[in-house]
Amino acid sequence: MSQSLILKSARDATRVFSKIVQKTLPISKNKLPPIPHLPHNVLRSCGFHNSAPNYSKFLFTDSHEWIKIDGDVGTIGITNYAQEQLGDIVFCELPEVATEFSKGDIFATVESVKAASDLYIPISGEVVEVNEKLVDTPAIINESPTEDGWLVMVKLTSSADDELSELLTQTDYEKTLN
Amino acid sequence: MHVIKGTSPLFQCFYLGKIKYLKALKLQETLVQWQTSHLNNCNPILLLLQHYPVYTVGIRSSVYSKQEENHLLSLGADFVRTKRGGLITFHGPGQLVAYPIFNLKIVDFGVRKYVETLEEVIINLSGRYGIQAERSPHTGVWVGNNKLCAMGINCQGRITSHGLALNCNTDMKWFSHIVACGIHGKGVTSFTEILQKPVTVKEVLPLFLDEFSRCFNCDMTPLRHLPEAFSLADMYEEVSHNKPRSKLLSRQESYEDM
Repeated sequence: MSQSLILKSARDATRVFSKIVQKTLPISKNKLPPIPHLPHNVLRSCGFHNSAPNYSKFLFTDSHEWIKIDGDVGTIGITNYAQEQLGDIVFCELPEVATEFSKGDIFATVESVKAASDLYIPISGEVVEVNEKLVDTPAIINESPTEDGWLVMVKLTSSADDELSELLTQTDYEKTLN
Repeated sequence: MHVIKGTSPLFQCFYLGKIKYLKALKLQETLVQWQTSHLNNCNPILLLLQHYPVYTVGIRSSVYSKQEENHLLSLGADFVRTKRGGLITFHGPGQLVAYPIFNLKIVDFGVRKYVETLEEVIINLSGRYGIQAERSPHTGVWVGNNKLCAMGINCQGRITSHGLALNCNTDMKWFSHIVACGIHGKGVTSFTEILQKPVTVKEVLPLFLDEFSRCFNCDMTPLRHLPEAFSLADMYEEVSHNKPRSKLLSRQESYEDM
């Protein structure tokens, strides 16, 4: 094909692939074998952009908070499952920067459907940044719970290693949802 | 009291009579703490009561200034800033207030589904009076443009507190001093106002319990009356050991002073 393709997702790639196969093979569409879904890890290695978020650096709690570690700073938010269970979030109460929390403290509250739900911090630390955008647009949490809808960033403490080892990997977290 | 998996949850139901808001709030906090520390080992609780006149606001408390607070206090009502969801509302005699305090894990609900189920309880209850009540994008139960039942919940690690407030024969004049639940252009109503005949909390109570049991698919203990004379510690102990006390009034007597 002469024109360049911009493939945005695994689904895109599969669709294009099936069209190419249909055009080149001299047999009717009905007799075509089913096009296999190319797994995400294969596509990623082929360089196709994968629209699903990369969960490998995330750790989770069984109360549906996530934390992403980058050096000695952890970014914390709630999972897609949590935002679905809550409904449309209309208000988000975040802590002040420099507040110190111990693991398990209530660090934020979100309000949806007239219900105020407290959120528990997965590790101890001092708040270094809060997502100011959520003050005016708390719905970002529903739209992008694991990316733009992050809640706080905390500086980890010396007990971080122990605390992180108590958290769940993505696989283990997903098991708790079933 | 062990919660056996596979059986319907058994809600411990208490009617507290007319009780001041702050006293009921302290009781709720004690019960939430108790539920949290006995996560897999306690029965869900349903508190039913009426409040003396009080205006309450939720966590979006900054919407309501000190000025407005003072104005409402001058009317003779209390004013309390709480940790529930929802904006400003009024509680007073003639209004059935229900506080289910339990772990949502028992019914396997998320917060949204829990609130929807509470709405369903009230919608079904209204249906029994021939009233067509419905949901709207604003949480609560509505009859046309008027809110019949307000809702505001707190959920701490899946333990619920606060709940709903259903206008039976509430004095609606108290609502004229606020924009109820922060929603402009809508009104409030009560069973008495809609049906044009008195409907008391006393008569609504057993119907409420019936619908609650049906919608949450659970069993309810017979309603026990706890007059204000009981101390909080007594209540905590009584609930955790599930011992019927000789001081408790019988069900028949409990409705007398409503």
